[in-house]
Amino acid sequence: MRTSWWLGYLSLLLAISWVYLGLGHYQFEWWPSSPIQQQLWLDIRLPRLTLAWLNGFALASAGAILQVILRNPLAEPGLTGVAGGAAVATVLVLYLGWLGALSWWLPLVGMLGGALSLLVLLVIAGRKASGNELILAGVAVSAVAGAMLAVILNMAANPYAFQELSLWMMGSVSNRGWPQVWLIGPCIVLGGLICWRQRGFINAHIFDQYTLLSLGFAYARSMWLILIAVTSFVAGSVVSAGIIGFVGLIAPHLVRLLGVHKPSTLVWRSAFCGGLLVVVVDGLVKWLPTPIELHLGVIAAVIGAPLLIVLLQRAGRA
Amino acid sequence: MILQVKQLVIAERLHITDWSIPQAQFIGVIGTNGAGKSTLLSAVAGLVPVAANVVRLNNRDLTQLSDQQRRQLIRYLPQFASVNAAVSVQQVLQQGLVNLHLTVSVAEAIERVSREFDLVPLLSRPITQLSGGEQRRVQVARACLGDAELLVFDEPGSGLDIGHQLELMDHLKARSQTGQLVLAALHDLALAAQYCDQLLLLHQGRVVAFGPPNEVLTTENLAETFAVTATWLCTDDGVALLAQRLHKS
Repeated sequence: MRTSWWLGYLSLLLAISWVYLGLGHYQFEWWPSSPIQQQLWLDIRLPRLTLAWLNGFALASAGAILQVILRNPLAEPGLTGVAGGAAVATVLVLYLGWLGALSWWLPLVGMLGGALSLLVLLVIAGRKASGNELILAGVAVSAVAGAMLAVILNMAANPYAFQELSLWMMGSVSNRGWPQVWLIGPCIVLGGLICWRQRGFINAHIFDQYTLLSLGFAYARSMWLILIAVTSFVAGSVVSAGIIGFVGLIAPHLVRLLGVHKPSTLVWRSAFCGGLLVVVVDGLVKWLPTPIELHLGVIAAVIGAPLLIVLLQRAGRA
Repeated sequence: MILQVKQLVIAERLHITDWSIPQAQFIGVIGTNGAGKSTLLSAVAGLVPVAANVVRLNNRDLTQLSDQQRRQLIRYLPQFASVNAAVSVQQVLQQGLVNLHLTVSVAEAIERVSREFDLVPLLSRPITQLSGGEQRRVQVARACLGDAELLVFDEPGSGLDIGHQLELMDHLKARSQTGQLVLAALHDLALAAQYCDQLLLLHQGRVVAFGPPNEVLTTENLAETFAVTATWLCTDDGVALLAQRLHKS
Protein backbone atom coordinates (compact mmCIF):
# COMPACT_ATOMS: atom_id res chain seq x y z
CA MET A 1 0.00 0.00 0.00
CA ARG A 2 2.73 2.39 1.04
CA THR A 3 5.13 1.59 -1.78
CA SER A 4 2.39 1.65 -4.37
CA TRP A 5 1.29 5.06 -3.11
CA TRP A 6 4.80 6.45 -3.41
CA LEU A 7 5.35 4.89 -6.81
CA GLY A 8 2.06 6.28 -8.06
CA TYR A 9 2.80 9.69 -6.64
CA LEU A 10 6.32 9.89 -8.04
CA SER A 11 5.31 8.83 -11.54
CA LEU A 12 2.42 11.30 -11.52
CA LEU A 13 4.69 14.08 -10.28
CA LEU A 14 7.30 13.22 -12.90
CA ALA A 15 4.76 13.20 -15.73
CA ILE A 16 3.15 16.47 -14.64
CA SER A 17 6.53 18.12 -14.07
CA TRP A 18 7.64 17.11 -17.56
CA VAL A 19 4.55 18.65 -19.14
CA TYR A 20 4.99 21.71 -16.90
CA LEU A 21 8.60 22.22 -17.96
CA GLY A 22 7.71 21.91 -21.62
CA LEU A 23 4.86 24.37 -21.34
CA GLY A 24 5.70 27.84 -22.62
CA HIS A 25 3.58 30.83 -23.44
CA TYR A 26 3.20 30.09 -27.11
CA GLN A 27 4.34 26.56 -27.64
CA PHE A 28 4.85 23.21 -26.07
CA GLU A 29 7.83 20.94 -26.56
CA TRP A 30 8.87 17.60 -25.17
CA TRP A 31 12.59 18.24 -24.99
CA PRO A 32 14.74 21.41 -24.77
CA SER A 33 16.28 21.40 -28.25
CA SER A 34 18.35 24.59 -28.27
CA PRO A 35 20.74 25.98 -25.64
CA ILE A 36 18.29 28.85 -25.07
CA GLN A 37 15.52 26.37 -24.46
CA GLN A 38 17.77 24.48 -22.09
CA GLN A 39 18.43 27.65 -20.16
CA LEU A 40 14.70 28.37 -20.09
CA TRP A 41 13.94 24.93 -18.70
CA LEU A 42 16.62 24.91 -16.05
CA ASP A 43 16.93 28.54 -14.94
CA ILE A 44 13.35 29.79 -15.22
CA ARG A 45 10.88 26.93 -15.31
CA LEU A 46 12.60 24.54 -12.90
CA PRO A 47 12.83 27.04 -10.00
CA ARG A 48 9.24 28.09 -10.67
CA LEU A 49 8.15 24.43 -10.61
CA THR A 50 10.08 23.84 -7.39
CA LEU A 51 8.65 26.94 -5.78
CA ALA A 52 5.10 25.96 -6.78
CA TRP A 53 5.54 22.46 -5.39
CA LEU A 54 7.08 23.70 -2.13
CA ASN A 55 4.29 26.24 -1.67
CA GLY A 56 1.65 23.59 -2.13
CA PHE A 57 3.53 21.30 0.23
CA ALA A 58 3.74 23.98 2.94
CA LEU A 59 0.15 25.20 2.62
CA ALA A 60 -1.35 21.72 2.53
CA SER A 61 0.67 20.60 5.57
CA ALA A 62 -0.44 23.68 7.47
CA GLY A 63 -4.05 23.10 6.42
CA ALA A 64 -4.01 19.41 7.37
CA ILE A 65 -2.40 20.11 10.76
CA LEU A 66 -4.88 22.90 11.51
CA GLN A 67 -7.75 20.58 10.57
CA VAL A 68 -6.40 17.88 12.89
CA ILE A 69 -5.54 19.98 15.93
CA LEU A 70 -8.65 22.16 15.74
CA ARG A 71 -10.66 18.96 15.06
CA ASN A 72 -12.37 20.82 12.29
CA PRO A 73 -12.41 19.88 8.60
CA LEU A 74 -12.86 23.49 7.51
CA ALA A 75 -9.69 24.90 9.01
CA GLU A 76 -7.18 26.30 6.51
CA PRO A 77 -4.41 28.93 6.67
CA GLY A 78 -6.41 31.41 4.55
CA LEU A 79 -9.79 30.91 6.19
CA THR A 80 -8.36 31.00 9.70
CA GLY A 81 -6.53 34.27 9.05
CA VAL A 82 -3.03 32.84 9.62
CA ALA A 83 -1.96 33.68 6.07
CA GLY A 84 -3.48 37.14 6.43
CA GLY A 85 -1.56 37.78 9.63
CA ALA A 86 1.68 36.64 8.05
CA ALA A 87 1.00 38.87 5.04
CA VAL A 88 0.32 41.96 7.18
CA ALA A 89 3.57 41.56 9.09
CA THR A 90 5.54 40.93 5.88
CA VAL A 91 4.01 43.81 3.93
CA LEU A 92 4.53 46.11 6.89
CA VAL A 93 8.29 45.51 7.14
CA LEU A 94 8.61 45.65 3.33
CA TYR A 95 6.66 48.89 3.24
CA LEU A 96 8.67 50.46 6.00
CA GLY A 97 11.77 49.37 4.17
CA TRP A 98 13.16 47.62 7.23
CA LEU A 99 13.96 44.48 5.25
CA GLY A 100 14.56 43.65 1.61
CA ALA A 101 12.30 41.22 -0.29
CA LEU A 102 14.92 38.48 -0.04
CA SER A 103 15.99 39.00 3.54
CA TRP A 104 16.33 35.85 5.59
CA TRP A 105 14.55 37.60 8.43
CA LEU A 106 11.39 37.93 6.36
CA PRO A 107 10.05 34.42 7.12
CA LEU A 108 10.56 35.09 10.84
CA VAL A 109 8.55 38.29 10.59
CA GLY A 110 5.84 36.40 8.68
CA MET A 111 5.84 33.71 11.37
CA LEU A 112 5.31 36.30 14.08
CA GLY A 113 2.33 37.75 12.21
CA GLY A 114 0.88 34.30 11.53
CA ALA A 115 1.35 33.16 15.13
CA LEU A 116 -0.31 36.29 16.42
CA SER A 117 -3.42 35.78 14.30
CA LEU A 118 -3.55 32.08 15.23
CA LEU A 119 -3.47 33.04 18.91
CA VAL A 120 -6.23 35.59 18.41
CA LEU A 121 -8.25 32.91 16.60
CA LEU A 122 -7.76 30.42 19.45
CA VAL A 123 -8.83 33.05 21.99
CA ILE A 124 -11.96 34.05 20.04
CA ALA A 125 -13.12 30.59 19.00
CA GLY A 126 -11.63 28.32 21.66
CA ARG A 127 -10.15 24.93 20.94
CA LYS A 128 -13.43 23.05 20.91
CA ALA A 129 -15.04 25.41 18.45
CA SER A 130 -17.63 24.09 16.05
CA GLY A 131 -17.24 24.67 12.30
CA ASN A 132 -19.41 27.77 12.37
CA GLU A 133 -17.63 29.38 15.30
CA LEU A 134 -14.26 28.72 13.74
CA ILE A 135 -15.24 30.13 10.37
CA LEU A 136 -16.77 33.19 12.05
CA ALA A 137 -13.67 33.81 14.12
CA GLY A 138 -11.50 33.19 11.04
CA VAL A 139 -13.56 35.70 9.06
CA ALA A 140 -13.07 38.21 11.86
CA VAL A 141 -9.30 37.69 12.00
CA SER A 142 -9.02 37.75 8.18
CA ALA A 143 -11.11 40.92 8.08
CA VAL A 144 -8.79 42.64 10.53
CA ALA A 145 -5.77 41.49 8.53
CA GLY A 146 -7.44 42.63 5.29
CA ALA A 147 -8.23 46.03 6.77
CA MET A 148 -4.66 46.48 7.94
CA LEU A 149 -3.35 45.47 4.51
CA ALA A 150 -5.72 47.96 2.90
CA VAL A 151 -4.45 50.72 5.16
CA ILE A 152 -0.83 49.91 4.30
CA LEU A 153 -1.64 49.79 0.57
CA ASN A 154 -3.59 53.00 0.80
CA MET A 155 -0.59 54.72 2.28
CA ALA A 156 1.73 53.39 -0.40
CA ALA A 157 4.20 56.04 -1.47
CA ASN A 158 3.52 55.78 -5.21
CA PRO A 159 1.35 53.85 -7.72
CA TYR A 160 4.19 51.46 -8.49
CA ALA A 161 4.62 50.48 -4.86
CA PHE A 162 0.84 50.07 -4.63
CA GLN A 163 0.70 47.84 -7.68
CA GLU A 164 3.67 45.82 -6.60
CA LEU A 165 2.27 45.15 -3.15
CA SER A 166 -1.24 44.33 -4.34
CA LEU A 167 0.00 42.01 -7.08
CA TRP A 168 2.30 40.33 -4.60
CA MET A 169 -0.63 39.66 -2.32
CA MET A 170 -2.56 37.86 -5.04
CA GLY A 171 -0.07 35.05 -4.85
CA SER A 172 2.15 33.96 -7.70
CA VAL A 173 5.25 31.93 -8.38
CA SER A 174 6.13 33.58 -11.68
CA ASN A 175 9.13 35.89 -12.07
CA ARG A 176 10.77 34.25 -9.11
CA GLY A 177 13.79 32.04 -8.86
CA TRP A 178 16.05 30.02 -6.63
CA PRO A 179 16.38 32.82 -4.00
CA GLN A 180 12.67 32.44 -3.17
CA VAL A 181 13.13 28.68 -3.00
CA TRP A 182 15.81 29.37 -0.40
CA LEU A 183 13.34 31.49 1.57
CA ILE A 184 10.66 28.80 1.82
CA GLY A 185 13.02 25.82 2.03
CA PRO A 186 14.25 26.36 5.60
CA CYS A 187 10.69 27.09 6.76
CA ILE A 188 9.56 23.73 5.41
CA VAL A 189 12.51 21.94 6.97
CA LEU A 190 11.75 23.53 10.36
CA GLY A 191 8.02 22.82 10.17
CA GLY A 192 8.58 19.32 8.86
CA LEU A 193 11.07 18.43 11.60
CA ILE A 194 8.74 19.67 14.32
CA CYS A 195 5.82 17.72 12.85
CA TRP A 196 7.92 14.59 12.61
CA ARG A 197 8.98 14.91 16.27
CA GLN A 198 5.40 15.63 17.35
CA ARG A 199 3.67 13.02 15.20
CA GLY A 200 2.50 11.10 18.29
CA PHE A 201 0.86 14.24 19.61
CA ILE A 202 -0.72 14.99 16.23
CA ASN A 203 -2.04 11.43 15.98
CA ALA A 204 -3.54 11.59 19.47
CA HIS A 205 -5.90 14.29 18.23
CA ILE A 206 -8.29 11.61 17.02
CA PHE A 207 -9.39 11.61 20.68
CA ASP A 208 -11.45 14.32 22.37
CA GLN A 209 -9.67 16.99 24.39
CA TYR A 210 -10.17 15.38 27.83
CA THR A 211 -8.89 12.01 26.70
CA LEU A 212 -5.94 13.70 24.99
CA LEU A 213 -5.04 15.52 28.21
CA SER A 214 -4.85 12.19 30.04
CA LEU A 215 -2.50 10.58 27.51
CA GLY A 216 0.72 11.87 29.05
CA PHE A 217 1.77 14.60 26.60
CA ALA A 218 3.33 17.84 27.77
CA TYR A 219 0.32 19.52 26.23
CA ALA A 220 1.28 23.19 26.35
CA ARG A 221 4.79 22.56 25.04
CA SER A 222 3.62 20.34 22.19
CA MET A 223 0.89 22.79 21.23
CA TRP A 224 3.38 25.65 21.05
CA LEU A 225 5.69 23.60 18.86
CA ILE A 226 2.84 22.74 16.51
CA LEU A 227 1.92 26.41 16.40
CA ILE A 228 5.48 27.24 15.38
CA ALA A 229 5.39 24.54 12.69
CA VAL A 230 2.11 25.78 11.19
CA THR A 231 3.19 29.40 11.15
CA SER A 232 6.56 28.41 9.73
CA PHE A 233 4.88 26.64 6.79
CA VAL A 234 2.49 29.52 6.17
CA ALA A 235 5.08 32.27 6.58
CA GLY A 236 7.45 30.47 4.19
CA SER A 237 4.71 30.35 1.60
CA VAL A 238 3.57 33.94 2.11
CA VAL A 239 7.04 35.49 1.90
CA SER A 240 7.99 33.45 -1.16
CA ALA A 241 4.76 33.62 -3.16
CA GLY A 242 2.19 35.85 -1.47
CA ILE A 243 -1.25 34.57 -0.48
CA ILE A 244 -2.46 31.38 -2.15
CA GLY A 245 -5.77 30.27 -0.70
CA PHE A 246 -7.74 27.03 -0.60
CA VAL A 247 -4.86 24.61 -1.22
CA GLY A 248 -4.67 23.95 2.51
CA LEU A 249 -8.37 23.18 2.53
CA ILE A 250 -8.70 21.07 -0.60
CA ALA A 251 -5.61 18.84 -0.34
CA PRO A 252 -6.55 17.17 2.99
CA HIS A 253 -10.08 16.60 1.71
CA LEU A 254 -8.77 14.89 -1.41
CA VAL A 255 -6.56 12.66 0.74
CA ARG A 256 -9.50 11.80 3.00
CA LEU A 257 -11.53 10.88 -0.08
CA LEU A 258 -8.73 8.41 -0.87
CA GLY A 259 -9.48 6.78 2.49
CA VAL A 260 -6.65 8.13 4.65
CA HIS A 261 -7.81 9.17 8.12
CA LYS A 262 -4.87 8.60 10.46
CA PRO A 263 -3.70 12.14 11.28
CA SER A 264 0.04 11.84 10.68
CA THR A 265 -0.48 9.98 7.39
CA LEU A 266 -3.10 12.54 6.44
CA VAL A 267 -0.66 15.40 7.04
CA TRP A 268 2.17 13.89 4.97
CA ARG A 269 0.03 12.77 2.08
CA SER A 270 -1.82 16.10 2.05
CA ALA A 271 1.52 17.85 1.87
CA PHE A 272 2.61 15.86 -1.18
CA CYS A 273 -0.82 16.15 -2.81
CA GLY A 274 -0.80 19.90 -2.14
CA GLY A 275 2.54 20.20 -3.93
CA LEU A 276 1.14 18.42 -6.97
CA LEU A 277 -2.04 20.47 -6.84
CA VAL A 278 -0.23 23.82 -6.94
CA VAL A 279 2.01 22.61 -9.80
CA VAL A 280 -1.11 21.66 -11.77
CA VAL A 281 -2.82 24.97 -11.01
CA ASP A 282 0.32 26.92 -11.96
CA GLY A 283 0.48 24.85 -15.15
CA LEU A 284 -3.06 26.07 -15.85
CA VAL A 285 -1.90 29.63 -15.20
CA LYS A 286 0.75 29.21 -17.90
CA TRP A 287 -1.48 27.31 -20.30
CA LEU A 288 -4.61 29.54 -20.15
CA PRO A 289 -4.44 31.92 -23.13
CA THR A 290 -5.27 35.11 -21.24
CA PRO A 291 -3.88 38.48 -22.42
CA ILE A 292 -2.27 39.06 -19.01
CA GLU A 293 -0.97 36.04 -17.11
CA LEU A 294 -3.35 35.40 -14.24
CA HIS A 295 -2.02 35.07 -10.72
CA LEU A 296 -1.77 31.62 -9.17
CA GLY A 297 -3.66 32.79 -6.07
CA VAL A 298 -6.49 34.04 -8.26
CA ILE A 299 -6.88 30.75 -10.13
CA ALA A 300 -6.65 28.83 -6.85
CA ALA A 301 -9.47 30.96 -5.46
CA VAL A 302 -11.58 30.57 -8.62
CA ILE A 303 -11.29 26.79 -8.34
CA GLY A 304 -11.20 26.57 -4.55
CA ALA A 305 -14.08 28.83 -3.53
CA PRO A 306 -16.81 26.75 -5.27
CA LEU A 307 -15.24 23.63 -3.75
CA LEU A 308 -15.54 25.24 -0.31
CA ILE A 309 -19.26 25.77 -0.95
CA VAL A 310 -19.62 22.10 -1.85
CA LEU A 311 -17.74 21.07 1.30
CA LEU A 312 -19.86 23.34 3.50
CA GLN A 313 -22.99 21.84 2.01
CA ARG A 314 -21.71 18.32 2.65
CA ALA A 315 -20.74 19.27 6.21
CA GLY A 316 -24.22 20.72 6.72
CA ARG A 317 -25.88 17.51 5.56
CA ALA A 318 -23.69 15.27 7.74
CA MET B 1 -3.47 4.77 51.70
CA ILE B 2 -3.79 4.12 47.99
CA LEU B 3 -5.74 7.35 47.37
CA GLN B 4 -5.95 10.35 49.62
CA VAL B 5 -7.89 13.55 48.92
CA LYS B 6 -7.52 16.43 51.37
CA GLN B 7 -9.01 19.92 51.17
CA LEU B 8 -9.96 19.60 47.52
CA VAL B 9 -11.79 22.80 46.71
CA ILE B 10 -12.79 23.69 43.17
CA ALA B 11 -14.64 26.97 42.99
CA GLU B 12 -18.29 26.44 43.94
CA ARG B 13 -18.38 22.99 42.41
CA LEU B 14 -16.54 20.75 44.81
CA HIS B 15 -15.50 20.85 48.45
CA ILE B 16 -14.02 17.67 49.87
CA THR B 17 -12.26 17.98 53.21
CA ASP B 18 -10.90 14.49 53.77
CA TRP B 19 -11.48 11.31 51.80
CA SER B 20 -9.17 8.36 51.67
CA ILE B 21 -9.23 4.82 50.34
CA PRO B 22 -6.93 2.32 52.07
CA GLN B 23 -6.69 -0.41 49.44
CA ALA B 24 -7.59 -1.32 45.86
CA GLN B 25 -11.32 -1.83 45.45
CA PHE B 26 -14.27 -0.89 43.28
CA ILE B 27 -15.58 2.53 44.33
CA GLY B 28 -18.76 3.98 42.89
CA VAL B 29 -19.23 7.74 42.88
CA ILE B 30 -22.92 8.57 42.93
CA GLY B 31 -25.01 11.71 43.18
CA THR B 32 -27.48 13.84 41.26
CA ASN B 33 -26.64 15.70 38.05
CA GLY B 34 -24.28 18.51 38.90
CA ALA B 35 -23.27 17.00 42.25
CA GLY B 36 -19.58 17.23 41.33
CA LYS B 37 -18.87 13.63 40.26
CA SER B 38 -17.13 14.51 36.99
CA THR B 39 -15.22 17.38 38.61
CA LEU B 40 -13.94 15.06 41.34
CA LEU B 41 -12.91 12.41 38.83
CA SER B 42 -11.08 14.83 36.55
CA ALA B 43 -9.25 16.29 39.57
CA VAL B 44 -8.17 12.84 40.72
CA ALA B 45 -7.06 12.02 37.16
CA GLY B 46 -4.91 15.14 37.17
CA LEU B 47 -6.77 17.06 34.45
CA VAL B 48 -7.74 19.93 36.72
CA PRO B 49 -4.87 21.81 38.34
CA VAL B 50 -4.92 21.29 42.12
CA ALA B 51 -2.62 22.52 44.90
CA ALA B 52 0.26 20.41 46.17
CA ASN B 53 -0.60 17.45 48.42
CA VAL B 54 -4.33 17.74 47.77
CA VAL B 55 -4.47 14.47 45.86
CA ARG B 56 -2.02 11.71 46.79
CA LEU B 57 -1.80 8.38 45.00
CA ASN B 58 0.14 5.62 46.82
CA ASN B 59 1.83 8.30 48.93
CA ARG B 60 2.94 10.32 45.90
CA ASP B 61 1.73 13.84 45.39
CA LEU B 62 -0.17 14.04 42.10
CA THR B 63 1.25 17.49 41.27
CA GLN B 64 4.81 16.16 41.65
CA LEU B 65 4.30 13.52 38.95
CA SER B 66 5.37 14.26 35.39
CA ASP B 67 2.84 13.89 32.56
CA GLN B 68 4.52 10.62 31.62
CA GLN B 69 4.43 9.23 35.18
CA ARG B 70 0.77 10.19 35.56
CA ARG B 71 0.09 8.44 32.28
CA GLN B 72 1.56 5.15 33.54
CA LEU B 73 -0.36 5.25 36.85
CA ILE B 74 -3.79 6.54 35.87
CA ARG B 75 -6.29 5.72 33.11
CA TYR B 76 -9.05 8.22 32.58
CA LEU B 77 -12.26 7.78 30.64
CA PRO B 78 -14.17 11.05 30.23
CA GLN B 79 -17.95 11.15 30.22
CA PHE B 80 -18.18 12.15 26.57
CA ALA B 81 -15.16 10.40 25.09
CA SER B 82 -15.21 10.48 21.32
CA VAL B 83 -13.07 9.78 18.29
CA ASN B 84 -13.44 12.28 15.49
CA ALA B 85 -11.66 10.55 12.62
CA ALA B 86 -12.84 7.56 10.60
CA VAL B 87 -9.97 5.36 11.78
CA SER B 88 -10.42 1.65 12.52
CA VAL B 89 -11.04 0.34 16.02
CA GLN B 90 -7.64 -1.35 15.82
CA GLN B 91 -6.00 2.03 15.13
CA VAL B 92 -7.91 3.67 17.98
CA LEU B 93 -6.61 1.05 20.40
CA GLN B 94 -3.10 1.42 18.97
CA GLN B 95 -3.30 5.18 19.49
CA GLY B 96 -4.62 4.52 22.98
CA LEU B 97 -1.27 2.92 23.81
CA VAL B 98 0.65 6.10 23.12
CA ASN B 99 3.20 7.01 25.83
CA LEU B 100 2.52 3.77 27.72
CA HIS B 101 5.36 1.52 28.89
CA LEU B 102 4.03 -1.97 28.30
CA THR B 103 5.16 -5.23 29.86
CA VAL B 104 3.64 -7.18 26.96
CA SER B 105 3.72 -6.63 23.20
CA VAL B 106 1.40 -4.10 21.55
CA ALA B 107 -0.51 -6.84 19.75
CA GLU B 108 -0.99 -8.76 22.98
CA ALA B 109 -2.20 -5.70 24.90
CA ILE B 110 -4.75 -4.91 22.20
CA GLU B 111 -5.89 -8.50 21.92
CA ARG B 112 -6.43 -8.74 25.66
CA VAL B 113 -8.79 -5.77 25.89
CA SER B 114 -10.58 -6.57 22.65
CA ARG B 115 -11.38 -10.03 23.99
CA GLU B 116 -12.36 -8.60 27.34
CA PHE B 117 -14.80 -6.12 25.84
CA ASP B 118 -16.10 -8.20 22.97
CA LEU B 119 -14.46 -6.07 20.25
CA VAL B 120 -12.73 -8.70 18.11
CA PRO B 121 -15.39 -8.62 15.33
CA LEU B 122 -15.24 -4.80 15.26
CA LEU B 123 -11.46 -4.32 15.06
CA SER B 124 -11.24 -3.57 11.35
CA ARG B 125 -14.32 -1.34 11.18
CA PRO B 126 -14.10 2.48 11.18
CA ILE B 127 -15.11 3.66 14.64
CA THR B 128 -17.35 6.40 13.26
CA GLN B 129 -19.59 3.71 11.71
CA LEU B 130 -20.21 1.93 15.02
CA SER B 131 -23.28 2.47 17.21
CA GLY B 132 -23.01 4.69 20.31
CA GLY B 133 -22.82 1.70 22.65
CA GLU B 134 -20.16 -0.02 20.54
CA GLN B 135 -18.10 3.18 20.48
CA ARG B 136 -18.40 3.40 24.25
CA ARG B 137 -17.08 -0.14 24.58
CA VAL B 138 -14.09 0.79 22.43
CA GLN B 139 -13.46 3.78 24.70
CA VAL B 140 -13.70 1.64 27.83
CA ALA B 141 -11.30 -0.85 26.28
CA ARG B 142 -8.95 1.99 25.35
CA ALA B 143 -8.94 3.15 28.97
CA CYS B 144 -8.25 -0.38 30.22
CA LEU B 145 -5.10 -0.86 28.11
CA GLY B 146 -1.92 -1.75 29.97
CA ASP B 147 -1.43 -1.87 33.72
CA ALA B 148 -2.43 1.06 35.88
CA GLU B 149 -2.83 1.66 39.59
CA LEU B 150 -5.94 3.75 39.24
CA LEU B 151 -8.82 3.58 36.76
CA VAL B 152 -10.97 6.72 36.71
CA PHE B 153 -14.10 6.12 34.64
CA ASP B 154 -16.84 8.70 34.21
CA GLU B 155 -20.11 6.85 33.59
CA PRO B 156 -18.45 3.97 31.76
CA GLY B 157 -21.71 2.13 31.11
CA SER B 158 -23.65 4.96 29.47
CA GLY B 159 -25.23 3.79 26.24
CA LEU B 160 -24.46 0.10 26.83
CA ASP B 161 -27.15 -2.56 26.69
CA ILE B 162 -27.88 -4.49 29.89
CA GLY B 163 -25.75 -7.49 28.92
CA HIS B 164 -22.69 -5.41 28.11
CA GLN B 165 -23.29 -3.26 31.18
CA LEU B 166 -23.15 -6.30 33.46
CA GLU B 167 -20.12 -7.57 31.57
CA LEU B 168 -18.41 -4.21 32.05
CA MET B 169 -19.15 -4.22 35.79
CA ASP B 170 -17.81 -7.78 36.04
CA HIS B 171 -14.57 -6.69 34.35
CA LEU B 172 -14.17 -3.62 36.53
CA LYS B 173 -14.83 -5.72 39.62
CA ALA B 174 -12.25 -8.26 38.49
CA ARG B 175 -9.71 -5.51 37.90
CA SER B 176 -10.30 -4.08 41.37
CA GLN B 177 -9.65 -7.55 42.80
CA THR B 178 -6.29 -7.78 41.05
CA GLY B 179 -4.95 -4.66 42.73
CA GLN B 180 -6.28 -1.78 40.62
CA LEU B 181 -8.29 0.92 42.32
CA VAL B 182 -11.40 1.52 40.21
CA LEU B 183 -13.20 4.83 40.62
CA ALA B 184 -16.36 5.07 38.54
CA ALA B 185 -19.14 7.64 38.42
CA LEU B 186 -22.39 5.67 38.14
CA HIS B 187 -26.02 6.58 37.70
CA ASP B 188 -27.56 3.13 38.07
CA LEU B 189 -27.85 2.81 41.85
CA ALA B 190 -28.90 -0.84 41.66
CA LEU B 191 -25.79 -1.78 39.66
CA ALA B 192 -23.67 0.35 42.00
CA ALA B 193 -25.11 -1.41 45.03
CA GLN B 194 -24.61 -4.82 43.43
CA TYR B 195 -20.99 -4.40 42.33
CA CYS B 196 -19.22 -1.67 44.27
CA ASP B 197 -17.27 -2.32 47.47
CA GLN B 198 -17.86 1.21 48.62
CA LEU B 199 -19.93 4.15 47.45
CA LEU B 200 -19.22 7.86 47.67
CA LEU B 201 -22.40 9.90 47.71
CA LEU B 202 -21.92 13.51 46.64
CA HIS B 203 -24.45 16.29 46.91
CA GLN B 204 -23.84 19.86 45.85
CA GLY B 205 -20.12 19.29 45.77
CA ARG B 206 -19.87 17.82 49.26
CA VAL B 207 -19.55 14.28 50.58
CA VAL B 208 -22.82 13.11 52.11
CA ALA B 209 -21.73 9.56 52.85
CA PHE B 210 -18.90 7.16 52.11
CA GLY B 211 -19.00 3.46 52.93
CA PRO B 212 -20.46 0.11 51.91
CA PRO B 213 -23.60 0.36 49.74
CA ASN B 214 -26.03 -0.62 52.49
CA GLU B 215 -24.73 2.17 54.72
CA VAL B 216 -24.77 4.81 51.97
CA LEU B 217 -28.02 4.04 50.18
CA THR B 218 -30.23 4.59 53.21
CA THR B 219 -33.77 5.87 52.98
CA GLU B 220 -32.72 9.22 54.49
CA ASN B 221 -29.76 9.71 52.16
CA LEU B 222 -31.80 8.90 49.07
CA ALA B 223 -34.58 11.21 50.18
CA GLU B 224 -32.15 14.01 50.97
CA THR B 225 -30.09 13.86 47.79
CA PHE B 226 -32.20 12.33 45.03
CA ALA B 227 -35.63 13.25 46.48
CA VAL B 228 -36.91 9.68 46.05
CA THR B 229 -38.22 6.94 48.29
CA ALA B 230 -36.78 3.56 47.51
CA THR B 231 -37.68 -0.05 47.96
CA TRP B 232 -34.80 -2.46 47.51
CA LEU B 233 -35.17 -5.98 46.15
CA CYS B 234 -32.04 -7.96 46.88
CA THR B 235 -31.56 -11.59 45.85
CA ASP B 236 -28.49 -13.69 45.21
CA ASP B 237 -28.91 -12.97 41.50
CA GLY B 238 -28.87 -9.20 41.68
CA VAL B 239 -30.28 -6.01 43.06
CA ALA B 240 -33.24 -3.97 41.89
CA LEU B 241 -34.48 -0.62 43.03
CA LEU B 242 -38.06 0.55 42.95
CA ALA B 243 -37.98 4.30 43.30
CA GLN B 244 -40.74 6.83 43.62
CA ARG B 245 -40.45 10.56 43.45
CA LEU B 246 -40.94 12.33 46.75
CA HIS B 247 -43.51 15.08 46.54
CA LYS B 248 -42.04 18.24 47.91
CA SER B 249 -44.11 19.51 50.80
